[in-house]
Amino acid sequence: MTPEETAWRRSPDVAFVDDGLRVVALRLDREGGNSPVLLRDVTAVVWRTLMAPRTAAEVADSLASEDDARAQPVGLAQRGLDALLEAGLVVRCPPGVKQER
Amino acid sequence: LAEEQTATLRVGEAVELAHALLTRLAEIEGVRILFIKGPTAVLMGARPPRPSSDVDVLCEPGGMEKIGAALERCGWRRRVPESAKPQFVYAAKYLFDHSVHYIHDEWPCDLDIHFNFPGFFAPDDVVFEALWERRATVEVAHWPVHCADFLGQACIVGLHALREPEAPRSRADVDWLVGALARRGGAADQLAAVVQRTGCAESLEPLLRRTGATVLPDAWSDTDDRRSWRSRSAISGAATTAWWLELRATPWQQRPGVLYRALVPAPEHFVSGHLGAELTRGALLRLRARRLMRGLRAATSGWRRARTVGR
Repeated sequence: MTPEETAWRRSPDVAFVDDGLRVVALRLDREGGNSPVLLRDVTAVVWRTLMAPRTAAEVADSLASEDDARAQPVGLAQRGLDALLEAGLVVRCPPGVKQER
Repeated sequence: LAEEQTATLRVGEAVELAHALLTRLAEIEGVRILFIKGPTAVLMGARPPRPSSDVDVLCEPGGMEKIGAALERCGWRRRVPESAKPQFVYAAKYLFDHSVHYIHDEWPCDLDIHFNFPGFFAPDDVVFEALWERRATVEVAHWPVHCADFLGQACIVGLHALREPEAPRSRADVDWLVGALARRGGAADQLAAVVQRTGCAESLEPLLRRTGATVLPDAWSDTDDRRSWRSRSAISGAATTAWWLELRATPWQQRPGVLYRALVPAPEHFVSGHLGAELTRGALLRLRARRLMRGLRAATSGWRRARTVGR
């Protein structure tokens, strides 16, 4: 599977609230040190696109199709995914999972 | 792209996320918990929608220590430390000791961990099992959490309201329950069965009367608990009454100390825990002044109530 074909999904160990203006996520996969994380701007938008597993290209398509379509959606999608990955909020989909959804 | 950052939580966000956090910790510790009141009661249709500022959970008997220790490992602490001097020595018997409050500097909500719920006269384990068997699962913060089902929540919301039956919010909650039970065919009779099993027929009587449910007498007759319920209901919503009761029972030479504690309590006894860290001296003074004014306004009615209790 190439990096472009890698699908990402929300970690099953994350609780979150989203009032439409901002997203606050909480990792629950480790005991202690559970600090809620505020997702802002594109990171929040990318998070919302991950209601189902998505590749970076699909996330970029979502960004490009928004009402306030963003410039350079591919770069933004990747940066959003990187930020979510770094925060431990998304995980790589096991092969086959995306196709089964 | 703004970087992610540790969030300054809003109350509503904190309340929802705390449901998920508590559920996860309870799962790790192998302790059964049921969310009660708050958002889950609203989701079950047993309470009118309104924002919550704390999280209420009923913990299975014997699980409190594990949950407390797990919370403390996550930075939560008891709102009033065990080492702190209790406010009431003599009047405590008229009040309900039923939960432990936890607070966290970064979370603007209290966690209220109940080891029982006032008004249920059956033993704690009987009550918990009765509610657990009927539990529902709902999503809060996109996380599945166990809560009391509609009838369980109805008992709890009703009992909570009937502790202070004259309060406007209590009246609204009871009215809501009467309507919600009427809309669900047969719910009042099903409620009666839960009531009998958990031993809250007497404490829920004002609600049951309005629903037309017939409740048989229950087997639980802990007279101390029932007396405490009657007294607490009689002095409902009146901290002033409790202070009068305390003062009345205290030996004369110790009364100045009680009076001082009543007028100038330690902050943890009257300030919401999550405000404590950021409260300025001026803000604390304003809170004290407001509390004092409320107390003075309620002094006469509190005295009258105190005279009817415990004699």
